[in-house]
Amino acid sequence: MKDFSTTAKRLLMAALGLGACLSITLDAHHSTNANFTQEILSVEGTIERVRFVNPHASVLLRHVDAEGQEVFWLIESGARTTLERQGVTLEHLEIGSTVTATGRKGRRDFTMYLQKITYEDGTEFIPQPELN
Amino acid sequence: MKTVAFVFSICPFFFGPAFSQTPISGVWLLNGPGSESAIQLTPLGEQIRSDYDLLIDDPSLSCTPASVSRIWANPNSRIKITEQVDAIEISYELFDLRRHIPLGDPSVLSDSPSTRNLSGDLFAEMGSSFAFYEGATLIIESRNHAPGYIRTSRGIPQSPNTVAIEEIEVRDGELHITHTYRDESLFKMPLVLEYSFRRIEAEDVEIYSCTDADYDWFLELNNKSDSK
Repeated sequence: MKDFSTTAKRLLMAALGLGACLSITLDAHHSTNANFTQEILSVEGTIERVRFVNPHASVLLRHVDAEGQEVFWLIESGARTTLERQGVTLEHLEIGSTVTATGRKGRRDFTMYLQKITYEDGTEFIPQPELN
Repeated sequence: MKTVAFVFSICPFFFGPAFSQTPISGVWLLNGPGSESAIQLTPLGEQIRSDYDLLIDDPSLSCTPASVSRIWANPNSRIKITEQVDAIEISYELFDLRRHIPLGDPSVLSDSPSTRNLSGDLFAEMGSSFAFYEGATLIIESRNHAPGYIRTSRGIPQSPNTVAIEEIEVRDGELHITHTYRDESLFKMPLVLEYSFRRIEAEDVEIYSCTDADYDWFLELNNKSDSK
């Protein structure tokens, strides 16, 4: 996995987490709040794909469950425009790296709205309270 | 010199007062969740709501505005208002929407929708609009809506019978909008939504380039995974 500073990781996650929090209000694009439940879960997996687009950036995780079954999880986050304004790019989310994504379980199977990502080295970010 | 000063001093009488924008003009961001009045639907409104599946029917999934209020009430998306002599131009960053609203009375209402995106696609879900001022308040009236949803999270509908009024004013530096929706086919009483916006120091909205939501590939991915 790419070795970059803890500070850089925390800044990245601060912005991603902030973007996630700011997007989870009222009727955010495609009704984020309604598309995801209040249930919080964590999924460990390997990053297969990263999309940095509007209205939602997303990460595709390949997860292998306890029975050895391979399942893909779609982890959605805020809009590219919003994240970019916070100085966030997704270049640090390296394809092939192993992470644990934590967030709100989606109403679609195997989907999640991202609240934090935890890297293999244990670096993690706990989102700030919503600004609004 | 005195002659020049005299000429300039009488110019306004010939050319009229110079057009000046009000505090409404500028770039704004949604400033909180807003409020809504009690929703009392008719049987038809209740039927539409109960039939609604937000995972399938939300127009936002195809980068289509569901309604005027839905486009205003999007966090973190800039909205630029420009007041002109004979029209109001509103640029919504979400879905790259551009809304041209003539100033006047119902006679200036166009047969075409007032809103298009940068590709030129028209969106009747936002209706056809005209605007006028009442003092410092800008009033926008919209009619001829395509069916859509005022609340996409819950499937609160709008119809071609819907008349929407936006009352826009600046109070204490904040932009306040009151949306009033009237539609006797859907609502037993008008639906009123209120939002506020904070001004930001930006010159314009940014290009959004919306990508249609597509979960089919993802569902297929896991189906393939299951079949292994």
